Amino acid sequence: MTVQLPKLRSPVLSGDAEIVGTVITARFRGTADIEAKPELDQYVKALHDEALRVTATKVQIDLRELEFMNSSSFKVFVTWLAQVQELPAEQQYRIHFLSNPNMHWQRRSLAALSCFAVDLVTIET
Amino acid sequence: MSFGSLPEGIINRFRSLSLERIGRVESVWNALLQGAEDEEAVRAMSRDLHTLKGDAKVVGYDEVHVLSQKLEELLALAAQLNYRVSEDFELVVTMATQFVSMLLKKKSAGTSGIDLDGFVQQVDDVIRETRVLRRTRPSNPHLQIVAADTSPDRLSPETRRRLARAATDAFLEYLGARNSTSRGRMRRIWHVLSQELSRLQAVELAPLLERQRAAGAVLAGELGKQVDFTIDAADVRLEPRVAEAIDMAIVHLVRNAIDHGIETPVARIAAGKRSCGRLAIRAEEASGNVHVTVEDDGGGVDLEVVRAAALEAGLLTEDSPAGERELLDILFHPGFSTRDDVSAVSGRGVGLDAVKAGIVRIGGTVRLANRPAAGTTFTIVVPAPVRQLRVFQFLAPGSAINLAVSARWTPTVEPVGADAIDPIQAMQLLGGSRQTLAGAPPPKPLAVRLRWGFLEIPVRAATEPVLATAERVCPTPDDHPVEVIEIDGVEALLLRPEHVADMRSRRDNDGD
Repeated sequence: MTVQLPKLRSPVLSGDAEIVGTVITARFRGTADIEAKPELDQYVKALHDEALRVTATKVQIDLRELEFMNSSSFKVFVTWLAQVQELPAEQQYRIHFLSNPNMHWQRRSLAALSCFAVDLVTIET
Repeated sequence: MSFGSLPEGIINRFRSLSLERIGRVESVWNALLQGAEDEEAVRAMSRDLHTLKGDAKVVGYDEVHVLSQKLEELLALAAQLNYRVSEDFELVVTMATQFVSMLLKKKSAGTSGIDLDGFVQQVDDVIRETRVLRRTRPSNPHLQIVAADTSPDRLSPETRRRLARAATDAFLEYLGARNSTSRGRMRRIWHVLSQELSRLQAVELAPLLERQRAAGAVLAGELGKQVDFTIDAADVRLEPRVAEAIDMAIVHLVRNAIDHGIETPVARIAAGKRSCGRLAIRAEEASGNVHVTVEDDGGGVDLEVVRAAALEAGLLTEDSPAGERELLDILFHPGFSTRDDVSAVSGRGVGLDAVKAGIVRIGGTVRLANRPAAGTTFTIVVPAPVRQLRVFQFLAPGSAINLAVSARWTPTVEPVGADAIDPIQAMQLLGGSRQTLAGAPPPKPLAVRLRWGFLEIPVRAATEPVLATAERVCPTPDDHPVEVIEIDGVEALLLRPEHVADMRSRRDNDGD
């Protein structure tokens, strides 16, 4: 199975995804600031739809090469998480963040995000 | 979340209104970050958040209440920094508003999968870091919002009980210690723990009410009204949960009084009143209860308007013989309103129904008295903290320890029998307590047979029981064998004989 998801291309942010078995991995690179928010928003919505289409059990978000994400862009993840939480249990998938411990913004934001859904979100450093 | 027995209608209305409020808070917050300077918007945001917090407490959405309080702290700090805050700060505010929205959207009770404590810790970390890094720059006084509340310390009843057990154990260790160093140390531990418990068990009401004065003055100014606000709550103390419920109810009642009750200066003069309205909050303890009144000299309740609205709402029929009391009670009916329009201040709150529900939840009552064209008086009655207890007091056998049992037991003095419990032995206080009477002539042993219901327990004593009034300085649960009390300022051990007997049984079994 291949993932049917257009690549994210903005002047400062890029993203692409692949699927292995029932796990989708999306990688982000660059900077997710206010200018990139519309593209990021669109991309994460499409990622969610694709996860439901292929009945993914897990979506991995690889942030290890993402230099910075502002709070407004990070809200995209919060909204997405709320959407997954509201799904019926059989449609919910786990969300796994691959993070870079050297980036301070990731430590705080991901730790806070995991509080929203401790049973859905895991963080790997 | 615990919704108690609140009607579903109240909960749904709270959720719907609160989602609107948090949406507005988020919107104003984003505008402030973009550099907007709108004093009215900041005040409205502050009011929205404060109302949301209060309503959440009233309806039992404790998690939303906690998060709203944290948001108040964050926004107060942001105001001091003219909203020039770090990314981390922005992030936790954004996430807190999202968190509140999520909790409000959840249809079912419970916070399964949510780590609220973990998130609050993140918020506290950001607040602490921001305060440390805070740059010294003048703030814009026009954009200040009311600082976060200093609510009564929150400790769950179970935590307080554990603290009381620990304090009591320290006192028993002190009594049983064999040397003066240990005795001194345990005495100090007991003193610290009992003082802390005393502070946690009853909070002063006056400081909580004083906050309403400032909020009321701001609101009156915004509405172009003049209000002479008086507060008299000297020495009234309440359990923290009761104090919080009163605080939240007063928020609503004060807003209602200023928004709907007290007239504008022009209208008051036209009605033959002083241009400045009067709003008085009084609290006093009487007959085991605390009575809190909120009295205004505004226009009072127009009973005919209430009757018409009740007819329209189907709460009355044309032939209903509803008198003043019935009509005033209708004001507390869920969802009832006499207003067609919506007030930005209080007309969209959860209303008197939720105020009543919040007070009833903590075992209180609320009642409204009306003086047509002359004002209203709300009277809230809640239980006062139980601090005094009638006891039978006697000296422990072979020691100087004052013992007591609740006066619900009926004592009868009799010769010592083999079945009589020695409370000092049962509590294993065989060290210093026995030594306190070293050298003194042993008192004549006797037993006190205690009867209560079907229970009958003989206890060894050194003196005959005497009726006394004790202060409960460190209340332990009813299933705990002992409690430290004070009789005429002297510490004594209140025994719960049925559990002291258990202690002896356990000790005997251990010995087998």
